[in-house]
Amino acid sequence: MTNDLCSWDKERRFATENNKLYVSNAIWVIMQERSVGLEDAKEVCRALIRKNIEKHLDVVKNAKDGSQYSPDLVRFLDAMTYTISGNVAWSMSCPRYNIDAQYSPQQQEWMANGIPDHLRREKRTRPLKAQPRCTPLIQAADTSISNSESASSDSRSSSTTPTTPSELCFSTNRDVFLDRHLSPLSREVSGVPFPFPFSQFQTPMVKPVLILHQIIDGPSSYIASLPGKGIRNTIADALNVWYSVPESTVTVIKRIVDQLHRASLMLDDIQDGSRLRRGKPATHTVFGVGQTINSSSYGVCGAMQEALKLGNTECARIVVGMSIHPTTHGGARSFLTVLDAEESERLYVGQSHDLHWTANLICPSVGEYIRALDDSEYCLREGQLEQSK
Amino acid sequence: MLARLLEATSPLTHKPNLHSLITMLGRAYALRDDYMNLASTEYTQTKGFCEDLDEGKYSLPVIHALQNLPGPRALILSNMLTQRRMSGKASPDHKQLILDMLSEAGSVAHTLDVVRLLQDEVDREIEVVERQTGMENLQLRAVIELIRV
Repeated sequence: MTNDLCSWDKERRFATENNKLYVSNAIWVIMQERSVGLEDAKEVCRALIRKNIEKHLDVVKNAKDGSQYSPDLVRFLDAMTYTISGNVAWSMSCPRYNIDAQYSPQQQEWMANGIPDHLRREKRTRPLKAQPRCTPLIQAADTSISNSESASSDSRSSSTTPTTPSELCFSTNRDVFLDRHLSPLSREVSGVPFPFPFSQFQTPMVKPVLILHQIIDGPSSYIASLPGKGIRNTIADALNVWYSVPESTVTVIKRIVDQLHRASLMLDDIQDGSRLRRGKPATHTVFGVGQTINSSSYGVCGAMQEALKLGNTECARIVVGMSIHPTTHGGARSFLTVLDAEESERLYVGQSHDLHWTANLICPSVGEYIRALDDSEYCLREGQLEQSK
Repeated sequence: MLARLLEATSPLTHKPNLHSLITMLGRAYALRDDYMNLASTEYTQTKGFCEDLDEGKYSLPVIHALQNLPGPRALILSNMLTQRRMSGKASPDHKQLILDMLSEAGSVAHTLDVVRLLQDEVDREIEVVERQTGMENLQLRAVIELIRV
């Protein structure tokens, strides 16, 4: 949206020169959709930008407060925030969108001869003081940003008569950016053009304990990343046509089954001595048997926790697999009561038969084989649900 | 498990009974897996050539062959399975020989017949539940079509 607001003049010019009946720009869409004039459309666009920036800042704040995310993700979110402000600063002043803006002599020098080695990215390992590495991005930027106070107050009172290109772009939302977002930087902006806070990037922002989650989730993330995605989720949605379970609960159920499924696949490959899974190296050949078993057990615990959180005793029983007496549901014999042992128990028992036959070279009867399938099919076997077309 | 969790969380007072359907569906697609592992080139690409034979798995085609090959031929097959146990995997040559013997016994074709029978059962079970609930499930039918052999 910011880009569309700033590139409006350029894109309108382009459309006119090329005899186009439309402009590929949000401003144009807003004008058409809401049947409003140019200035009103820009105002709508600014409001949308403000709303989205606020949302973005909220998300970032929550992500940092919650501390359940990895340091890399938090760093990425910070970088996105700087990308947004950087894009604004650039758009306000770049020659691409502002006809009267000029590249600075230094920029022209860099464009002609490249960025000097000592400023290149690979070299930026030591904490940097407010060194003017980006120097005036564009010289016009200096004046427009340092005049932000007067420019923005002017434009609020007379937003229909913009006087400079940068004011045209940011007559009001510049405040939002500079105050809420760039505030630590804005004071420096006029003196040192646009220093990037590299020093902040050196310090860990999140508790290191989170890294441990990355390790324990490694094997199950790996197996989830392998090709040949099953269609269990599609089947879940299809069956729910008859069950009418609320969407949010279905999502949790899918997650539970996914977690158990991944855990079983990892254990299954270890137990069968499979070197391959879906044509790729099996998980334990990548992470080792110990780490893989640990990650599987952790996944099973996670699934149990999710099941308990559903607050439904049947679900907890199905997943945790406590032995209980069969119950009846509303007088009718239901699916839940037909089975004499809980699902997760049967899963392990079925698998034990399979392993026993293979290890001892005992060929089961067809009946025994089908019985073992019935016990283990829900989780362990997975090729069965891969799409063939 | 998926179906049971859905049943448990369903807000409906009269919940449909999908037990037979799920059992048939599970069998159909487990045996489909046995069949595809030996017969499908796509499985060869994504899972490796007849990976089940590496695992020494007693899949339906293997069980069928051991029961139906004449004595001396069945002896060869069971010995190859023993060798696989000792070496941990089957060589491509061994796999090819096992496949030949499975074809000789008509075991792969037999497995396909069984899968198709079970698919018919699944279709019937879907109809039963549709009648029971008065709700057509086109979504489920579409998924079933995608994996029909």
